[in-house]
Amino acid sequence: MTTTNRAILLVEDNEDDVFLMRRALRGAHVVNPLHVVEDGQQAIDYLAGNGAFADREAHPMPAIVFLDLKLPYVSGHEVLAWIRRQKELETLVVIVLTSSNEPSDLNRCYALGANSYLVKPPTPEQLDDLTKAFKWYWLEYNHFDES
Amino acid sequence: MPATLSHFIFAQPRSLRSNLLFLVVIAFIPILAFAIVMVILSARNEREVFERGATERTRALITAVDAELKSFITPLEALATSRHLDVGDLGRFYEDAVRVLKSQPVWRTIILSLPSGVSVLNLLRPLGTELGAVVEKRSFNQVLKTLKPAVGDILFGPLTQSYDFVIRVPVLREGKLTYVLSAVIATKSIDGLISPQQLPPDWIGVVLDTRNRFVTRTIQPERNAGQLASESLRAALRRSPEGWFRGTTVEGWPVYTPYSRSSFSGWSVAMGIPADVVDATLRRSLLYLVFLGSGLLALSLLTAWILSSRTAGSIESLALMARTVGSGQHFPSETTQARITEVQVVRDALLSAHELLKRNSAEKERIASRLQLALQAGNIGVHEWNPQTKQLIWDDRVRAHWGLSPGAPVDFAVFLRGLHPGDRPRLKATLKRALDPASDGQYSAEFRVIGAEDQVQRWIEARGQVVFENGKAVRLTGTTIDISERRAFQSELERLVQERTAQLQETVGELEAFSYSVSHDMRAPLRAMEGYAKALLQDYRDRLDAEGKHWLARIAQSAQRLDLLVRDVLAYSKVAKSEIELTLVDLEKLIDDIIAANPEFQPPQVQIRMVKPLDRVIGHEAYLTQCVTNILANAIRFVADETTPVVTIRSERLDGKVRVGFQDNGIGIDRAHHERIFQIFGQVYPQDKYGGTGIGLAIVRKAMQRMNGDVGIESELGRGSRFWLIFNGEKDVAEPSHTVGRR
Repeated sequence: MTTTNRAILLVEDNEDDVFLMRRALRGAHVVNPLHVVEDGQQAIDYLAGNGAFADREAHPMPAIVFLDLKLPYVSGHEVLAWIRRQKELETLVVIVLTSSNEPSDLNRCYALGANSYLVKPPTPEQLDDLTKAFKWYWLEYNHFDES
Repeated sequence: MPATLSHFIFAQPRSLRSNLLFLVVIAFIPILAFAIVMVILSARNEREVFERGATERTRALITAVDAELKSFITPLEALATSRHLDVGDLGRFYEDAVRVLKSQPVWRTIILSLPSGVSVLNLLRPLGTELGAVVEKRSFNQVLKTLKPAVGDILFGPLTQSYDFVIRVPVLREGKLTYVLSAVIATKSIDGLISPQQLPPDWIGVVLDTRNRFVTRTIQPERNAGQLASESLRAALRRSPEGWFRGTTVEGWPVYTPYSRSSFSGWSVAMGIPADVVDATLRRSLLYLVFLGSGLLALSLLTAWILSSRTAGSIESLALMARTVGSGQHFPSETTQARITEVQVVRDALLSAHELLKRNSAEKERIASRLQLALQAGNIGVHEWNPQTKQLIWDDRVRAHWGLSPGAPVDFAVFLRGLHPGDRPRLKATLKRALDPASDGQYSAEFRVIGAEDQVQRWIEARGQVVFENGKAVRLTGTTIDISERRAFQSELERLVQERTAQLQETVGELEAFSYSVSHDMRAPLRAMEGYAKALLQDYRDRLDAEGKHWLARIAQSAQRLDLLVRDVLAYSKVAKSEIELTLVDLEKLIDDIIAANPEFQPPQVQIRMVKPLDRVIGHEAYLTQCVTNILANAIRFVADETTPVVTIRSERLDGKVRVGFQDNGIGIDRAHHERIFQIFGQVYPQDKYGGTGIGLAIVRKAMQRMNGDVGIESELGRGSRFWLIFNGEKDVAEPSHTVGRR
């Protein structure tokens, strides 16, 4: 599987942030398919392949999850905890992307097994920098667990 | 007897009176004994002198009797030489004899006898009358035998009809006894020798013949003549020819008798001295002694009695005083002086002791009444318990605490019964601990008591102390207070505190939720605003004119600025509430790191100089970074146009504190605004020109306060500013030095 084919799942309820993130990823020339779900329950359903998400052609298993913390129904922390409880999702790369820089949030996410913790940058320029850095690091240099 | 005496002296307590009387008697005995001995010795001596005198007198008298008798022999011997007897011419001799008889008045007759014992001549008869044999044969035979004169015994003459005696002399012719010539002499002749005139009036004098018959006697000489002497005198004469004895007269009178027998005549002289007279001296002396002695003894005893009464009386009055003093009663201060110095001393001492006691007891009463008042006012009960005797003493306030009426009987069981069952084991344990001699004996406990009579539950606080003696608890004393109201108040207070705390926690929670919400939800739209503005500027750049582009840029800027504000407010609230730990911080390294991390703090935009070395300070690294960053940002921001900002950082020690100064060449701040700039939103200059949120210095001040430090400013308009960060001294923190500048 080539790097560019790997799917990215963005868990984000704010459509402005979805728009800005999508635009920034495009600006950084990230071509990987980007799937978006808008709350925690949808994220779990997507990853578990429940209901409509059972079709993996339309909804492929992602290699990277961008996870917001503040989500309707099921919070990002709970989604992260659920992911790490699933045997097959143990090695899934979960990058927390949140506006919170509260130490409590950060500590809790790493404790639950987050791979990275990113604070949403305040300006579009900085968001561009972030997506570029993401592409270099996670998509070009990082090796995924293929098992 | 000695045992009894020593028993008397030592064994029992004796009254002073007995002791004094005993002393007097004891002192008197040897004196009396001595006096008696002296009296007896002197009496004996006196009697010896008297006896000697009497004996002398007796001897003199017997000598006188002998002399008288001899005086009768001489004329008789002269007659015996008559020449008429040579030839036996009795007629003529008769005449001679008559002549001699006439010259001797006391002679009664003269008799001439032949050696055969036949008288041939008696002047009382005419010559030639036949005369009988010699009557008194003893002296006659003596003459025959000795051929010397002899004195005869007294005899009642048949012719003379009176008691007479004879003197006989031998008539010797050529060595041969031819006759015995005898003169009969009246005893009267002897009477004169012992006439009462020659003797003391009450004495009796007697002359005895060889047969111990009275020749004469000073009392009734006629009646007694020829009578036998008293038995005692005759016995004494048989024992020795001379002596002294105590006997009785023929009449039976007791007498002392000196006597003496003549070796010449065989006659004796004796005196009868009334025993009374002799003994009288001794008896008188003894009598005097007895009278005087008993008088003196009585006087001494009386004196001792009076003295002892006086002393005992004084001592008894002292004892009474002492008892009065001891009992704490008052006695009228007497002014009479004791008559014994020592008693007076003790009395004075007692009086002053009484004064002291009075003063002390008055003071004690005052203290006690004050204590009572305090106990009453504080409703404090006092309890005391003796663990040995199990005696429990409560005052009525403790009883009230146990719901008992005043004066109700109490004991340990009452105490236990009153305790709330839930508190009983705990209180028992507390008491057991306090009663342990190894403990300090103090106890303090709060517990519930169910009133024995009123069934009311009270909270009681008891405090006290156990007193130990020789490792044994002997007394437990303490106080009890009814703390029911306090308890109720306390629990009400606790309830209130809990309520308020809950409310506060709720508020804090809400605030936290608010700030969380601020940091997430309020910033998201701002990000979106800026994002969309920037997207428009990029994607629609060809279709927008210059004014449209400018307005979009202003929208983006405003969004940025609001985001900055939100972040600063968050930072401020974080600084205000976060828990931090203070450590030693290497300021040089910290500032170097800040400069390295921020391009806007680097040349050529700005020149930041450190006057090294900078003192290490006590603080929190993150807070310090924030403070330094804010101050540097201000220094760079508030400069006149065309001026390159220059900041000089130096540190100095002052009064155990470290001051770090940031001197800039900025526009300065008017003195009037020095306080305002540290307030939140206390911006002085228009933000359009210089930027900033007006929160930066407020964060600095809050952070410095959290680090136990402070911030200050020295500045005047147009002359730059110097900001001071003031830290507590290094010594105030006990942090190992290897943590310096590292986290």
